[in-house]
Formats: sequence, C-alpha cells, structure tokens
Amino acid sequence: MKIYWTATGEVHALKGVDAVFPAGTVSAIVGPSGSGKSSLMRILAGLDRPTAGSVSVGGVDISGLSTGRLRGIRRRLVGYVYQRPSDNLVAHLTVREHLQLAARLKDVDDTGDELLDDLGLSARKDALPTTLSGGEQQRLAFAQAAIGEPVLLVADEPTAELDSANGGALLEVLVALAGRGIGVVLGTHDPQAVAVAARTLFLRHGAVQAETAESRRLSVIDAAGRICLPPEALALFTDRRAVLQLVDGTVVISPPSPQAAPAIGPETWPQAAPET
Amino acid sequence: MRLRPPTAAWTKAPVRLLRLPTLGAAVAAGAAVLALATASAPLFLASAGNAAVTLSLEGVTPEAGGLSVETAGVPDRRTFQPADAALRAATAGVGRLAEPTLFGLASVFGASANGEQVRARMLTRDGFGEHIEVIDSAPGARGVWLPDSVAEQLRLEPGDTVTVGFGEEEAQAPVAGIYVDLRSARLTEYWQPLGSLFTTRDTEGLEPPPPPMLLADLDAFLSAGRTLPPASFRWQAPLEFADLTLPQLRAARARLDRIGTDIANPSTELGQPFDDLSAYGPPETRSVLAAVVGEVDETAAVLRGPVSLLSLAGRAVAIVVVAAAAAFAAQRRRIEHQVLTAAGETPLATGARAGVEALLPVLLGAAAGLAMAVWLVDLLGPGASGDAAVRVGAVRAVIRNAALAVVVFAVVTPVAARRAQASAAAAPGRRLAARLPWEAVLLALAAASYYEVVAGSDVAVELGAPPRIDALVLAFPLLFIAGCAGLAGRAMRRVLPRLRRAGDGWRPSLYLAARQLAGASRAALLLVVASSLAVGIGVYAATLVATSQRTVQAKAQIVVGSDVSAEVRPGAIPTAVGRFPTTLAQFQRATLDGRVEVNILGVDPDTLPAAVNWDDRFADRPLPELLATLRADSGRLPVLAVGGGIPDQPTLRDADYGVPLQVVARPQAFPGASERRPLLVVDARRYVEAVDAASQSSIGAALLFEPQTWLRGDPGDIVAALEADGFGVTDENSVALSGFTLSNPPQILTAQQVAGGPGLAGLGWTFRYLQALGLAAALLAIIGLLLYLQARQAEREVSYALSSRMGLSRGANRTAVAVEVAGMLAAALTSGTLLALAAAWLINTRLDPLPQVPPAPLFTVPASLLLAVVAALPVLAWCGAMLVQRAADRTNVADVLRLAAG
Repeated sequence: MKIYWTATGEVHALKGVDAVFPAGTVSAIVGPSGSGKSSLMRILAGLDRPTAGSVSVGGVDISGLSTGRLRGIRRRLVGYVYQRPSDNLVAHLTVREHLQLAARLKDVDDTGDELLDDLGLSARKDALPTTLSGGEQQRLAFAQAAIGEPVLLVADEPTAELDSANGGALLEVLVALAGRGIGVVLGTHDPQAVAVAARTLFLRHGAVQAETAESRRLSVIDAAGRICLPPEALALFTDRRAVLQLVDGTVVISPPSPQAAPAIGPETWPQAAPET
Repeated sequence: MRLRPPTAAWTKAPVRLLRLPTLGAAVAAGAAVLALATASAPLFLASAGNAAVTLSLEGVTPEAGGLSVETAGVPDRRTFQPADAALRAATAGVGRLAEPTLFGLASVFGASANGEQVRARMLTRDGFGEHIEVIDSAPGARGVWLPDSVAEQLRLEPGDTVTVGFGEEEAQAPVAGIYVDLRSARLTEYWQPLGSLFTTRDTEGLEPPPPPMLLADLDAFLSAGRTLPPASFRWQAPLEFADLTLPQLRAARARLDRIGTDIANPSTELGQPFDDLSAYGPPETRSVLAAVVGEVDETAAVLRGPVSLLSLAGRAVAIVVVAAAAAFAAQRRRIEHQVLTAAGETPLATGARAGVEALLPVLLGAAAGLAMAVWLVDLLGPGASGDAAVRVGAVRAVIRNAALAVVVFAVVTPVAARRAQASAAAAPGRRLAARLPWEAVLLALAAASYYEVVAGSDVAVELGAPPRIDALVLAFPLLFIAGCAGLAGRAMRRVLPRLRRAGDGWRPSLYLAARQLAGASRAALLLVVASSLAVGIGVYAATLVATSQRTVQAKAQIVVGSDVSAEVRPGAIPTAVGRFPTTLAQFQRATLDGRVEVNILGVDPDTLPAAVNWDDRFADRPLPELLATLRADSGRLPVLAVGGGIPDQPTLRDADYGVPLQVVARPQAFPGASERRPLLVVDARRYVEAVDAASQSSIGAALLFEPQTWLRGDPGDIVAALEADGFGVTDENSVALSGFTLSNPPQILTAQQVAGGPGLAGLGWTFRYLQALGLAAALLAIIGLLLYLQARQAEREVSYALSSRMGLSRGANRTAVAVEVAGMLAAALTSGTLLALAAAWLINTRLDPLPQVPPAPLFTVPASLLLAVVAALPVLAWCGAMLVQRAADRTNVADVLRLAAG
C-alpha cells in the first residue's frame, strides 16, 4: 500500500497490490494515468517505501531497510530507467564513462564493452549524450542500468518517446537482457511492450484489476473475496449486482436482469496476446 | 579496500563548474564576499590603527615623542661617560629612535680673568657651534666660547684662558672663541626651546637679566666639571614619525618603557652608571608615547567591536550565498543527481564530489575577494595599509574560510539534491516548515535589537574617551533591511503575476517585458531581494557616513564657534578680518539666581550671521530672526538659552547686582555652546549697558569678557591669513623641549582640528568600513544581475527564436530586455533605498557621537550617491540588454529549438 500526503489531503496511490515479477522475464505494468504504475515501480526499485506491506527483491525484504541499506540494494540488485531518455544520463559524461561510473557504483569490474556491443553502441563509446539519438540515449540508459547484471531492472514507459522502429529495437534489447536472467519490469501503455511481456499486470485505481500470465488473463480476487472485472465485462452489470452460479466447477457470473445475458466463461474473456 | 583510478565523474569534477558559468560565478561570488568580509576587518583595523597613530602624533614634536632622560650630577668625566655610553647603547636598538643629543647645563658659578669676575653659567649642547654668530675664534681651538659681553668685561680673546670656579675649586679653560651674546640676539629655532635661559618675560625691567652663558664642547664641559656646581644633563632621542605604523609604535613604546625601568634600577647595566652619576635620585625619563599608544588603543577598541560585527555579518551572508549557490546548482543539476541517486550513489560521495567541483571557483573567488579587500582598504581606509604580518594573517583567515565555503557547498549539495527530487506531496511537517517565513525571524531579531538600543544608552560616551558604538546599533538595520527585503520579495511574487493581465494594446517590447517580469522565477526574485539588500547596505552606510560627517562638523563648528576661532580681538588680525567674514564673540561665566552656572556669550547681531555656519535645524527660525529677538525691549534683557535648567525669567546675579533676564528663544544649538554648562546668548552691547547700570563696580562688564574672533571660510586659507598677521595655529598637545617654551601664544582653534581628532575620527572610520562593505555589496548586486540574465538566457533564446520569426525586431527585443532589467533594478534600488533610509532614520538619534554637545544628529540623505545610482540604472539596464541581444544574435535558431524540444 502507498499513501501520499498532498495539500488537498491523502492520496491512496496503491491499495493492496499483490504481485510477483519473476527473474529472467519481461513483465509489464499497464494502467491508465493515476492507476499507481509509477508508485509501484518506484517501490520495486527501492526509490520509495510502501506505507504498508512488504517488498522483496532477489529474496531480500527491502521494505524495512534503512536509507543507507536501501541505497546499497539499488546499487547491487536494481537498475532503474526513467521515461525520458535524457533523464537517465549525465550530460558531461561520454557513453563509456557512463558505464564506467555505473560499474564503479555497483562495485563490479566490467568495462561494459560487451553490453555496448549487444546494444549497438560500440561505435559511440566516446560520444556525449547530447549527440546521441533518442533511441541511442535510451539504450545507453538500459546499458547503464543493466551493467553488473542486477536482479531487477525497472523502466518507466521506456518506449514512450521513441518511434515504433526504435521502440521495437529497444524491446528486443530488453528481451535479451531478460535472457541473461534479469527480471525486467516495464510500466507501459505501448502494445508492442505488452506483446513482448511474459506477464502483464493491469492496475486500476491503485489496485490490480487483472493479470496475464502464460497467455491467460486472470482477474484478481482480493483477500476479501472481491473480484475485479475488466471494463467490458463490468459494463454488463449496470446496477452493480451479479448472480453467481457454480456450474460443474465453473463459477458463472451473470447480471440479475430478466433478459437473458450471455454466460461469461473462459471462452468469452478477451484473448491474451499470442506468444512471440 | 581496493584503490582504483577515479571515474570520469571525479576527474572532470575540478573544472565542472567552470563549464557551468552561472553556477561557477555564483559560487565564486559567494567566496569573494566571504574573503572580502574576512580580510577587510583586520586590514581596516590596521589601517585605522595607523591613522590613529598619525592623528595622535599631530602636534607632537619628534623630541617629545621620543625619549628624554634627565638627571643632575657632578659633571665628572669618570661618572658621566659610562652613563652616556650605556644610554646610547640601550637606545641604539630601538627602531625609529635617533641617536640621543646631549644637553648639559651648569648653573651659576664664577668666571674670572685679568682681575675681573662675572657670574656665569655653562652650557654644552651637541652642534651648538653651527648656531651661534661667531665674532672671533681660534682656528681649531677647543674649549669654551664666551659671549661678547663677557669677553669684553674680562678682556679676553680667543686663545686666552678663563678661570671658572665654584666655591673653593677652580679650573682653567681655554677660550675657543667669542660669539654674539644670545641674550641680545634673535633666537633661532635651535635656541628657542631654551629661550628662558636667555630672555625674561619681564618687559618693565624689574627683573635682572639672566647670567651670561659660556658655551663649551662636551670635553671642555667635563674637564671643568669638578669645579662646577651639579649640572643638569638631558639626553633627547627624537623618534622618526614618518609612516610610523601602529606595530612600530607599540614596539618603540615597549622598548622605551624598558629603558625607563632599567635606568631607575641600579642593579641593571643601564641603571648602575646612572646611579653613580645622579646626585639627586634616579634619572627622570619622559616620553608621550605611552599616552599616544593609550589614545590609539582607545580608538582601536572603539572600532574593533563594530568592525568585527560587520565582518561577521558579511561572512554569514557569504556562507548563505554559497549555500544558496549549492542549492541552486542542485536544482539545475537535478537530472544528474537523480541518475546517480537512483544508481545508489551515497550522499557522502555526492557531497565530496561537489566539494571538489567547488574548489576552483572558491579559490578564484577568494583571491578576487582578497584583492578587493586590499583595494577597498587602500581606497577607503583612513590610514596606511597594514604591514606584512597583518596581510599574512588576513590571507590565512581567507584560506580557512575558503575551506569552510567548500565544506558548506559539499554539505548542502546532497541535501538540496535530495529535496529537489523529493515527492511534491510533502509530509505535513515539511509543508508547515516551508510556510514559515524566514523574514519573520529576521524582523523579530531586528525588533529585539531596536528595543535594546532604544532602551539602552546612546553611543556610549565616557568623559575623555572616544565614543563607542553599541553593536546592536549596527545589527538592527542589517536585520531590518534583510527581513523587509524578503517580505518585499514575497509581495512581488504575488503582485508580478498580475502583469499577465495587463499589457493589451502595449507596444511589443513593453508587452514582452511585462510578461517576462510576470513570469519571474523564484530564483530571479531571490536575486532581486539580494540586490535590494546590497543596495540597502550601501545606502545605509552612505547615510550614516553623511549624517556622521555633517553632525560631527556641526558639533565642531558649535564648539569652535565657526570654522576658525582666535583668542584675540579682530583688530589684532587685520589681514584675516579683511578677507573672511568675522565676528567678535565674547565669553563670560556667570550665575543665575545664585545657583545655575552658565556661560554668557555676547554677540554682535549684525556680523554674527555671516561669520558662523548655521543649520536651520538648530532652532525653529532662521538665525537673523533669532538674533532680532535680542533687540526686544520688555524691561528685561532678552537672552537665548541653550541647554537645560534655565527658567524663563532668570536673574543674573553677582555680589553686588542682579540683572533680570527674559528667555526669548531656546535653540537646540548655537555656536559657542559647550558640554560643560548652559549658554545664554545676549547682545554684547546691551548686556554691557545693563550690567554697568546695575553694578556699582568700577570695573566695566566689558573688561570681564574673554574675546574670541570667529572666522568663516576655508580653514587653510584662514590659518595662512592668521600667520600673515603673526599668529600660528597651536595645539595643546604640542610639546617642545620641556620647560623651555615661549610665552603661551593665543589659542587658534579650527573646527577641522576638533572634528578630526582621533576620538571622533574613530566613529567616522567605523562608518567608512560599513561603506566599504556597502560598495562591495553594490558590486555583488551587479554580479547578481548578470547571473539573473545568464540564468534566463536559455529561455530567452527560445523565446527570441520564436518571436523573431513572428516579426519581433532586434530593437524591440533589446528594449524589452532593458525594460525588464530596469524594472528589476528599480525594484531592488527602490526597496533597498527606502528600507535603508527608514532604518537609518530610526537609528539616527542613537548615534550621537557627543550627546553633550549640540546639535542632535543631523540626518543627511546621501543625495549625490542616490543620484549617481539612479543615473547608472538605465545605463546598467541598457548594457545588460546589449549583452543579451548579442548572445541572442549569435545563436543558431535550429539548435535552440531542437535542444528546447529535447
């Protein structure tokens, strides 16, 4: 749970989010503005603390750590990438110097040359960020975050400011990074990004509305037994009342209206994106 | 721990801020202010100390300022020579002290030859032979020189022998020459201090002339010594005053004190031979150095507190500037810090790297500040600069404080960086803290300071001591101006956005300027507030200096009467009277009603107004109108009363008469008033008539007056005219060879002497120090303006790139910038000036250097300074606009737009 205090009162950014982001996979967090995506990602990255609940990264519970130890977690276990490419880079350091600094902070002996090769930046080792294209800047940001192979790499809308070609190329990079065993978590609206994600978490009003995993879309049932319906299903229940029927081990939820409403079963769920 | 080569973030750190000119300049400016405030205090105090030395030594002769040793004993070579050698050895090591000259005088004894005898004295003095008019001499002869009157009486010629003796003892002394008797000659400067040995003051012939003087070289003097009565010996070692600094003065005083102690102690190497020589107790040593050093120390003590306070305030402001620069830098480099924080960099590493970044700008700023301090003290300091030791001390202090500035920058940067990245949704506690206005704290402190000042005494004055300034008197205006300037800044933040709604129908340049001002950022307004504070300090200092100078001058002229006063009647100084407005002022002491001691000042109402410096604030009406009231005829003698304790209708009483008086006006101040007793001003003629009519004494009232002639004009020209009339300026401090002065000449006193004495001078010097800091603050205000222009350069370039494509001309853009800058400067100038004048007005009455002497402080606005600043405002605005336009003309529009989008 995450609550912020503002001039107009409390804002409940996250209201009980229960999720797992496995290592070696690309996971996406999807939701409209104000759904709590950024808050969740900042908490995952150790840049913020939950008001309540626990967060575990690489087997380490980071929710109760001191500021100093949290900083250490960020150094060793987590990489974070901001939405705007230029927000991830230091204007007076070259490409090579960025990786050198990141490696030093993570205390690893890695010049980053292999990473630069993988990301197609070898030819631009001595370039300053202002001379790189948007796509190159973002790839550098990911290289910087991925050096030292952290357990978790969190990126907020990484393709938002890239064209589709650059965005696609970047997503390929992310998949490759995941292939190295890094857990990649993306906050995104980009269908391309959702398509490459093995798991997708749908957030709405600070809570998990649904989740897709292994090509299946799952609704989330909270501890109180409440289930979150997708908008297109919710639209059928105009008076917010439903009839539940247990039929042959299947729970059927239907509106109470006398008109015959189609039963909602697994075959009528919105289909998950095909695997690539 | 492994040692690895530093990353580029560290290797590039030392020159990082040089590539961010705005930030680098802000840090350097803060360091410059810090160095200026640090170094200026000891340099100024040293300069003031040296000036106090010069002032205190005015009128003191080198002989009086040096060492004088006097003793009396038998002029026997066996006892004299060891003492003489010991003293010369002791004084040889005293810096600035010349070799002692010897004077010896043997009193009356008998000189005889050829059956004739005369009563004579014998004198030896170094170099006398060059200062006598020789009548006859034996070539190369040594011995005694006879005055012509003695040679004639004893029928002696050079080469003869004269017998000298006292009691039973006699000795033969060769006659080396004959000289014109000094008793009948005009005494040269060499002999004037010994004038009473050759002349008497008796003009009626009732006293016999002094005995004739035989002059002898030292050898002859000592050879005849056993036959002479005990002689007086004086060694006089003058002190070289030219460019004498305070440390040198202190060193000389210490050495002279040591000599004085040793010479009186028979167990010392110096005291033992003098114990053998001196017949009447230990020798007497004299030097005015102790008194001079005491006076200088008192003046320095007056300055030390206020100068230290001002220096501390300046350093505090500078540290705040450095901290603000660090916060500003953290805000500007928010992205960089965000990246590194996300990557796990510790605040310690961030701060350490910030310290490395700040090192070079701080060093450059400190060097500039130190140079500025030296230049300002040379320019505005009252005396010569301090010696090498003072400068070395100042440099050390600057280095220490520069290190402090680096530490402050290093500490503030990570804190500010964290705050810059913190969520906008702050916790309630932080929101409350952010709302607390720091200005309220400053104003509360200002109010407390003002209360303490008002409840306390004025500038503390001890009788005979220099005036002291309460440090709170200086703290109050600084706090007041800073607090009010901050509130003015907040008010501007609320008012300026309203400019957005204005401007419809205005010319494009004015419209743009209004929009720029409306959109002024917090940083821009902070610069305006800082500039306002800088202007305020400068104007406050200038106001205090102007007020202090005007008030001290007025008090001096009140004490003296006019620009110059001479204790003679006008008839004795025809040259001066012919060239300058003069009036006769006549003083007399009297008693009112048998109990109130007053001074009576008899004036000539016709000549007085032209001969004195009158300020309309002295009374409720102009001087001619005031003097006209002395002609009123009500049966009682009209008087003006200055000072308290005088009833409206007192009676002037003496042993045998009473003159009824009527107080017709009570001016706050009047020329001739003093702190000692109240003053009654009367028409001199009417007063004499009234007293003579009432008194039965045969001595007319006119004879009881002590006359003074007051002259108005340039003091230098007046003194020159007085010298042409045969009168010279004297000073009570003037000390010739003790005991041998001419009759006291009339006292000639100038207002300049009174105003320029070290006591009052110290007060003025304090304000000059404040003025020096104000000048530096004004320079910083200009730097702040340049920073403001630089800080908004990027957005201006984008704005101009777009506007020029829509038809905005270069001239219109330049005018818009000039109007914007002029607006900011005008806001800073107006608020700073008004606040400073208000603060100075509030504190003005508490800064009376001599509250016992009228008038009260004459509040004086530094009009010429304000006019100069107002005249400079449009020039600065236009120069700033030109700089901005040139930068805009050089930019590539495509690059500007691309970078702005990126």
